[in-house]
Amino acid sequence: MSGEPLLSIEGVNVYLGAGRREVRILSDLSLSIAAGEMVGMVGESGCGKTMTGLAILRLLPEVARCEGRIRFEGSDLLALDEPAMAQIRGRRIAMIFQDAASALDPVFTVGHQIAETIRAHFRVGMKEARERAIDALDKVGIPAPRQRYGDYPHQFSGGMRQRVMIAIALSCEPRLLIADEPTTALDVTVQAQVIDLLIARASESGTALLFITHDLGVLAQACARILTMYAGELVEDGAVDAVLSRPQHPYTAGLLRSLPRLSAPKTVLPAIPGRVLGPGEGGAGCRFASRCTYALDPCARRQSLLRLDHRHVRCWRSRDLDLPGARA
Amino acid sequence: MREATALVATQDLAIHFVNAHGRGRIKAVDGVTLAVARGETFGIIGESGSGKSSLGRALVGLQKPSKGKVLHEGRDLFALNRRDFARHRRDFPIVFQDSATAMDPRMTIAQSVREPLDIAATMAPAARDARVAELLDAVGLAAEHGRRYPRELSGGQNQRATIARALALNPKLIVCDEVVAPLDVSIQADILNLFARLQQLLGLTYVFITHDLGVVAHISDRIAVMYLGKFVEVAPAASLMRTPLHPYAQALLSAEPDPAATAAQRRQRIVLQGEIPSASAPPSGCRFRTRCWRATEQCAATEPPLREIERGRLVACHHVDSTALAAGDSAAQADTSSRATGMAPASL
Repeated sequence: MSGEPLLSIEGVNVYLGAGRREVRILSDLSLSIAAGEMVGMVGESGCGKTMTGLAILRLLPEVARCEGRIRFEGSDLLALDEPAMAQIRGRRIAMIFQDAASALDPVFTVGHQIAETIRAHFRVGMKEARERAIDALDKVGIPAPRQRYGDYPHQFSGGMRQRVMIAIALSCEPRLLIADEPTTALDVTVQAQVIDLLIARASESGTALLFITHDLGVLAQACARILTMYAGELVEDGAVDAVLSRPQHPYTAGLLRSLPRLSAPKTVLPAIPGRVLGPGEGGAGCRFASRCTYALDPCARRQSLLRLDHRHVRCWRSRDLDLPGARA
Repeated sequence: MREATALVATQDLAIHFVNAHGRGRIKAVDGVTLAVARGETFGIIGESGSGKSSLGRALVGLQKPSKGKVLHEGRDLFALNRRDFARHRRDFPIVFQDSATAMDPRMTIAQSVREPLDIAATMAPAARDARVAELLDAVGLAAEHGRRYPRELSGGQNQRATIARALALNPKLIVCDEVVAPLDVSIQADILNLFARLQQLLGLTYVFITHDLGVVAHISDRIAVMYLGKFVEVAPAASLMRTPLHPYAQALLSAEPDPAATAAQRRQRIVLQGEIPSASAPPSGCRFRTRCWRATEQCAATEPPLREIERGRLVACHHVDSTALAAGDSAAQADTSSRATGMAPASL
């Protein structure tokens, strides 16, 4: 990586609720994404994956408070006024959500919804926007795009709707695309098509990708780098192949071990004992310590994200632990 | 596996629905014959619209078939009179995907688990509370969880409660329909372990319906691969995972993202074109031919029967014979790369 990264997040904390009820749902989040980089974020429900995406776009719910620094293409996103932020949303940073059916407006044609996005960011007439929208539909593999332009979302299948979402997101050639569980609702064979499409279109236009998922397999297929989130914290950040073959945070290793397809059939799956700490629960120490087989006394102290070779790990023991990975 | 000795069997089972416009029929299940032995875990894998859930519902008597039979221990389930039917169904409960809606929100967990005991009334009322405590304990819930309402429990805990309820009347077989689909990986592992432990303890038989290959491969003895209302392949779990024979089974195995795959393996996967066709107008001949890279004229003309090509291995494909098996794993592996590139761009 040379020069300034496309996106850099430094020491971001997100709080929900007010006064004494306030709880921290994201803590000490620091990461950067280079131009054109494909980064995947994995973690279980409630770990703060979606909140990270929303924080970058400043779309957090009104009761949330965000502190820290989010720099994107040289500007501090948290310091921008709303009109300036609106110029970035959709144009420089786009987001795709899991549920394409509810993300699309049912009363407008899909073509109209793509053209609307284009016209919000470029000074083009309706005719030009229409042509660009048809082109966008064509690029995401929708057959007969000129005819389908006038169809409504309900006339598309789940996989096709997610293609439309990708078309809208990429229509303004953003520099960063945040895809939040874009294939979770799809069947395996359709999921494979959509992942391939997303990667192909993003790399063509040099768009960086932040791919949020709970599925390690999907992540491995789509991304070069993996970010593991646990209970509101980033716990591991490294190259996909390196992390999967030799995880350095006990939670990443535990997640890999509990996958059914990686253990012998009909054997007891090595599940992670205990349960995840909720927001506001736990002290200052490692949030995984109560479930970790490697925990020692110093784990009760605050853990910071350590830099090891080409990896960042939030575990003071990571240097001496030899944890099993997905590829023995 | 003789159907007469099987715990649950179907004979040429079909479930057709009249579609919303009143014309045409949706053939959700279209001619499925299966036999599940006592103590076995029979996995059914398929994508949405394959008919796997309709089949599961028919197995426990929740869905009347349009054609064919469901046999429970050799007796035709839908030929029983009302009383026998009700009594029979107690031995064959079903657990659904969405545990939160499967439980009555106004009843505590203990009340929900007790309900089948109250309805069956085979046990003295005084003994029922003790039985509830025993059931909660068996699925790893504390007595304290029993006093709570479904909304106060996590997804994993609710799923444990629905399993406790399914166990209440000492069933012989449990149909599990996507029971771990909405759960996080670490909780999913807990629940799969629970199913395995209960099977050992109680000698249960499972029909495990899922779209998740990792899950079905881990828990099943035999697996049926379902596509558009039909079984396209039935095989012992290990054989299917090692050498899938039907092109759809091969594509399914290849498309499932595997975190342990190397970068080279990931590039070699087969990505099918298009989506599953509508069950109201399935393609002629072989139903998979519109997405299949091996399809020929024969596939459009005649439907391949599900035939046994080796003991315990059934495949419905004109292009698969016993030589495919003899060729072994290495050939199947080498074939993958050419398939991935030589795929016909089938459009639907």
